[in-house]
Amino acid sequence: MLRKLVDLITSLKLTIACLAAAMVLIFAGTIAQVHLGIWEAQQRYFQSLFVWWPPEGRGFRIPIFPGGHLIGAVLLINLIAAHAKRFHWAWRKLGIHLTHAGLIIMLAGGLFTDLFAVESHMRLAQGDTKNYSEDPRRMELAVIDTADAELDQVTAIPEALLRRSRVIEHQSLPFRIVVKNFYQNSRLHPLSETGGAIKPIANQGPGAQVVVEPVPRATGMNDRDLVSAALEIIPIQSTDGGAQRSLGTWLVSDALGAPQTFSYAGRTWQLMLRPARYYKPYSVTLQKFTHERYVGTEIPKNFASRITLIDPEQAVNRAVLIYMNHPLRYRGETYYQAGFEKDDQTSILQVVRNPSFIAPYIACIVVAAGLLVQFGYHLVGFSRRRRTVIA
Amino acid sequence: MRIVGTSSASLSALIAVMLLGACNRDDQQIKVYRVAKAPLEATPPPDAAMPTNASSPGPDSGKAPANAEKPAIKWDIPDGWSPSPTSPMRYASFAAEKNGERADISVVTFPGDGGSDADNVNRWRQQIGLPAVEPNSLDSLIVPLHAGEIHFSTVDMTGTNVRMLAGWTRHDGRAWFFKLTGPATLVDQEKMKFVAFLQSVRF
Repeated sequence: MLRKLVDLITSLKLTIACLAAAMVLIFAGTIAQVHLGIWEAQQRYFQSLFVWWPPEGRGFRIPIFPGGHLIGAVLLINLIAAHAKRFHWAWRKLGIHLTHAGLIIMLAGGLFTDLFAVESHMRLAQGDTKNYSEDPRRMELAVIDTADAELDQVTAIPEALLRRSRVIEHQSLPFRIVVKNFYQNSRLHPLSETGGAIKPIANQGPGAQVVVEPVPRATGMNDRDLVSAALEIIPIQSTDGGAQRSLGTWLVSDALGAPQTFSYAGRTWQLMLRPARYYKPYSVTLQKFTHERYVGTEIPKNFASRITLIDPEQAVNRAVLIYMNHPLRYRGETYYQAGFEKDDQTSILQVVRNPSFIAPYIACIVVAAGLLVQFGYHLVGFSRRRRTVIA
Repeated sequence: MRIVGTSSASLSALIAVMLLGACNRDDQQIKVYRVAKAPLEATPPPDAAMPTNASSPGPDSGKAPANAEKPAIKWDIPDGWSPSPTSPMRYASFAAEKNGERADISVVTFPGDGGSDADNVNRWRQQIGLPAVEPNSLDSLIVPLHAGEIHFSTVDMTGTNVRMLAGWTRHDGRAWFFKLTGPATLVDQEKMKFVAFLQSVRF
């Protein structure tokens, strides 16, 4: 049994099958971008173990094809196992060993990047200071306990849970959150526009004056969904020992901006649907953003952000200039100049944390060294034989 | 030399299972954390003498410079105050507890001047639910406190449910902020200790 398994995972047929499956997956995933958009297609086809059908919301789903993570992992294991099984040390094979090692590092690095790299944005207006970056593609519901005078306690509930769960409970919250409606993409209209024909789904906060229209998911490169949800707050324990009474239903949406507040158990709570945040032990202040253009044109020549980095833990306070191809690397994160908005008053920095960022560089060097050794070995052998023949 | 592979291949299969297991990312878990109400305590302007990176700094650039040890300061901790956990933004933290109530004492320091007094006071006022004041009416709020050669500026502010005493001074290129925050009655009882604490500060 074990023998058969070893034969299977070390077989060349498995390599071919994986490569063929990868070609089909890349073709299907590329076509799917037309309807799903690049982000969603990446998630469903390449950053998953399986491609599922139907994708969601039907109560059941079956895997119909291996996803990118599964194909990549099997290919990696196949490569390592086959190499380990057939490994036979000889100087003349050094080039082949090095090339294979480089490929293994590249595949493993790609998989680890996919699994563990985190990309986010830091959006700063001139003079702004932030100690967090945001993921514009993933939302979170922040339920904030403001009782403490200096520190807020934030319970961050990811968008995926709001989408999946009907009721959310957590030990940090004295109430349960009932997700009455969840809209992956939506448009909000003032109640006054509807002429009273449609009732709002919320009865608390500004959402009580708003009607939500579900719309298809955004598929453009620069479009993004406007996620909204109607949430009912129900205390877990009623104060008078009687039936649990709802505190009301709130509409939360990225479009509503400021957090909404309510009081319960003598505390003031805030509700906010916002891009998922990654807090840092240091802060970044945008001192000045410059956007240079070629004279007489609107063609960009250079974007640059002059920032101040303050890290009390490391006693760092310094000015840094971030511009195209000159990122800031700090505490395992890389800050790239990514864009701007609002008449050049706001700079957008892309923040990348990728523990395996070095893997492709190492892989390329090892593969190049392997090929050099292999071809060099053959070249030397060839020239020796030629010299012998001539002599 | 020939390394044959049943065990190696089995090991590879184990790695495969581990890799697949790693696919379960933690971005679908509820997270709970505590953050400062205001974005930050202060946003001092960059030191003009500091170098600007013409090229990006290397991976080690986050390490503290040679003189980056904790800045030297001494004080006497009043009776009844106990050290409490610090956060990355704090130099020191203490707590005063009495009759089930708790007041928080924080010490925060930043290189530079620590921002303008108007910005700082208005941020603290916002934290305790008070409206901002115009910079020109700030003088009536700030009370000077002299402790030997050290000159503190102090404010005493009472919000809806909380009272805050704050004192700050600037010394040797750094700004130091000391704050006592908590229920009004407890802060009233701790006020003299807080003043004594400020007066015990030595650089």
